[in-house]
Amino acid sequence: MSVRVVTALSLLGLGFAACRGGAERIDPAPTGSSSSVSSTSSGGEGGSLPIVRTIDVRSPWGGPAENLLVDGDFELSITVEGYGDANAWYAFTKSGTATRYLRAETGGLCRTGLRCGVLEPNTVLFGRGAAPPKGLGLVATVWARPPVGKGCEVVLPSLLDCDAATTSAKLKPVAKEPDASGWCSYTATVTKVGSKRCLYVDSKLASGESALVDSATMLATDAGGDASLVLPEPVDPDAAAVAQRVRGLLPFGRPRHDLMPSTP
Amino acid sequence: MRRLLALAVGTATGLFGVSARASDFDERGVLLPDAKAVAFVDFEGDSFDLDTDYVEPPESPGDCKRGSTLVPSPTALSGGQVLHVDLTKFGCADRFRFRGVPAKKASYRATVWLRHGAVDAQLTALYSKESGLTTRYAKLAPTGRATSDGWVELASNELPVDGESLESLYLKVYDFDSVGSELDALELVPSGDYVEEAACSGAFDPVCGDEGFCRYGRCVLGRLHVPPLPHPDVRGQVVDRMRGLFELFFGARKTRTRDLPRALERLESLRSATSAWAFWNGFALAVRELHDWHTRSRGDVQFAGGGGRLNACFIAGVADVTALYWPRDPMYDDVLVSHVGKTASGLAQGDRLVAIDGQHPVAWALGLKAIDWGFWQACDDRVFAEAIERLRELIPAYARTITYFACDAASGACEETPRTVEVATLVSDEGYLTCDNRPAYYLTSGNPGSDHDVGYKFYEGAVAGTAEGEKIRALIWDTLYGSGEPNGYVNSSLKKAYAAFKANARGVILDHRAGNGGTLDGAETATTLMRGPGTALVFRSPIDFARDDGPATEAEGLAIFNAWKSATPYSVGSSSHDPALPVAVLLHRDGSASDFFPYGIKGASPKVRIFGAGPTAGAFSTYYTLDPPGSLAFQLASGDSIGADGSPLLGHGVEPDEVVLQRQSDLVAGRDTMVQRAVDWLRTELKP
Repeated sequence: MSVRVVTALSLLGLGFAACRGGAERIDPAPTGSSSSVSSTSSGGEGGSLPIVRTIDVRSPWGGPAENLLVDGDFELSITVEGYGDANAWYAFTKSGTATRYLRAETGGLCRTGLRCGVLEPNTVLFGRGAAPPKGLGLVATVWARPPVGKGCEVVLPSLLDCDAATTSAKLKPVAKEPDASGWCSYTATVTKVGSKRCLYVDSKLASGESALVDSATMLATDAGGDASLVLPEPVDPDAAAVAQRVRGLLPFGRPRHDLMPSTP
Repeated sequence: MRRLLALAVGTATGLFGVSARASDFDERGVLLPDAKAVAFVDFEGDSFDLDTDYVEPPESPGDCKRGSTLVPSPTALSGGQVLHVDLTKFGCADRFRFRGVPAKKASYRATVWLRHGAVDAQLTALYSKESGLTTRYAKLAPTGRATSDGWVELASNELPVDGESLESLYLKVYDFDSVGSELDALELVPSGDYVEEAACSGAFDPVCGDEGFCRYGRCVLGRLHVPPLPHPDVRGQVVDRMRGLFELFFGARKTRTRDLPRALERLESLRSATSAWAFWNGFALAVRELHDWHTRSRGDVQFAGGGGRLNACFIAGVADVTALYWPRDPMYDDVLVSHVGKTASGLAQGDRLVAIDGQHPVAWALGLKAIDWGFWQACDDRVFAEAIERLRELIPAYARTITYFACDAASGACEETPRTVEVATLVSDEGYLTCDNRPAYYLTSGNPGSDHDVGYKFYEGAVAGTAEGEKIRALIWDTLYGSGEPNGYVNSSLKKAYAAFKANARGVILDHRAGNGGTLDGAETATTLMRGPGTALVFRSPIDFARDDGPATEAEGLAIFNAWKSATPYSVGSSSHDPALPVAVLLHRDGSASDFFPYGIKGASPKVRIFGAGPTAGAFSTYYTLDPPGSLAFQLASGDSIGADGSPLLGHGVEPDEVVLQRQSDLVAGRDTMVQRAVDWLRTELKP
């Protein structure tokens, strides 16, 4: 989804996610540490200066175009706190009793696009989507960047029937530990999709921790009979409660929060 | 060879605006300010002072406090410090001026880099009132450039600035969340040519050129209110994504088969757009081509030019007093003045608006589609109530003249010759008047105020002009936002009113003539007074299967209804309803949950009668709200509802049992035709 403009050495080994918890932000690079860049250089004779950052051009609208999740890239779902309505992502407390604000991270801190979602403790994300065209299955994938020191199992994504929430399919982490860039991917393939599917992202984050979530896709597939297919599982009661809450919030009317005129 | 290269660069810059980017980076990723910049602020050293560069808000909600602080950051884009923006109250913003703006007429583009969260940012050129110049601003939005350490470039399009008359040129910014965002490397770069703000007349006055339109008598430069043209490297991806959203998620049987192809064609044209305005206005027009009540593009541009609204409301009706002097249009209803506030520029209740710029008012309003970002249209092709309701804002913004028959309440007569007046001479609203399609209120006490702001409130009482023993009561309300809370305000208010009706009324008027919809539970509760339990439809909204055009046959529709009647029913009625109580439901401009409500009671009982000026909007779906970064947002309706007979419902409004159009003669006399007719019917059906 991005076009590299300045191709430089990767930032491998920079130890990106120094999460400071609470209201603070995920730090993109070790603060004030010259060692953070000393392992990376622009080459040449000793003494060459280190690469500070790379620059990309990324689509502000995310993608891919065929994504069955409405906004898997989180580009179209970040609102002014308290003013969201009918967005493609909802954030809730775990039992779905209250909505939470979905915060965003930016730029290269995200895996793709210009924005990604911040998953916080005791919060779940509910990403809305559609089923593939009739007769097709789907491959669901989502990426998460856990806090430093935590494995991929700390984030728990699953696929839900958006309406009935009677079955789910857990997305399994591809690896136990994050890759060199700090990200984990999770995936599941399902067939016989009879109605729209939503992505439910829970976590085992502890107080003060947070994870980034990005690049979520549900893509149609005609794969069938694959041994890796995930069988439906009983849905988590919390997930069912959240799905029920989303249904109750569906707006059938004029938006309550309309755009306001700008002031000088 | 050198000449060829220069030509190529020049062409790219001209075509893609954004190519004239400000700062750049060296091979290590170190930011290099643009050598042409007239200002570069990295929020440290001599470039910036938090106190002296702060601009007091020209208009303030009153208790705004500065929310920005300077924060050391080793990963600052420039230097070692960033501006941390964290406003605590919505409506407040911080403003920081650019120093040393040349005292000449020029055009500038602002860029700033954002990290963490999200902000709304704009470049404002503020002029004193004495200068005679209009304060103008340009919104900033992402260009697509991003850095590996989290910075995202925001840029405005080119803003003409008269540096000689300027009071202040500044960046206005507020953040979206309670944590705040960081800004760095703010830059102001000369770009483009100064453009005088031209006077104009009528929406499409050619003096405004292709890059703007006329609003409130001044040319609006479209580019100031939209994001930059997407970077050529990702423009195709943006269009693909727009197309994917439309194709996968939008609409229902009617809108997908009839309207979507035209919208997709419009989207395709964006690939060759050569300006920011052509691209983003083209996108907004594609949204409007989808012809759906919920589907709207929203953007700062719809407020451009300021201005106000006429202090008068219009309603579809029958001009029985002036029919002899101006024939009824074969396609559209007559348009009458429903009610007015103070300073209505001579317009009075009962006046008949026959033409705007020489066209029927509805035809004129529909003709604004190309530039009217507030365009609002019912899903049902036969319905124009939305356009008529908006005339009071459209006329002062876009029209040159209006032609109307003036009427006099005292004599009950109207002039035989229409008046044509220049819109520029009309006064826009002072105070607040809502158009709720109710010419007058009729409760014996406790009516809505003279501002007609029914909004989220409920008004219940006895109907004036009826005998006490008739016990005819009414509920006036417009919202069905139950929000899934059975004991919340809306559902409780409805239940309370219905309980009172069942206990004490012999006939009821449910007046829902500006039905703004809400949530499904609100519509369900609204049906519990007058019918027994049932499943009126199933809602399959948002869309179930990507790209699905919905049921093509009755059998397919029935299969969907039967499959989902347990899981996603619209459950109407109540076993404790009052079958003996006659209920008159009054509708005029109603959509969404306010479609579901009448659909759920239509034909349910001979004791229920729906009075309306025409069908409801037919907006039988919910929608997604999508907020791309920058100064626009849009809503995309998704999915459909399937009736118990297998019909896909979206696009087909609920037909009234009795069509009642407001009569001009009644309006002139201060009477509400529909209420009169409802009372007449109730009197024939009163509960024993």
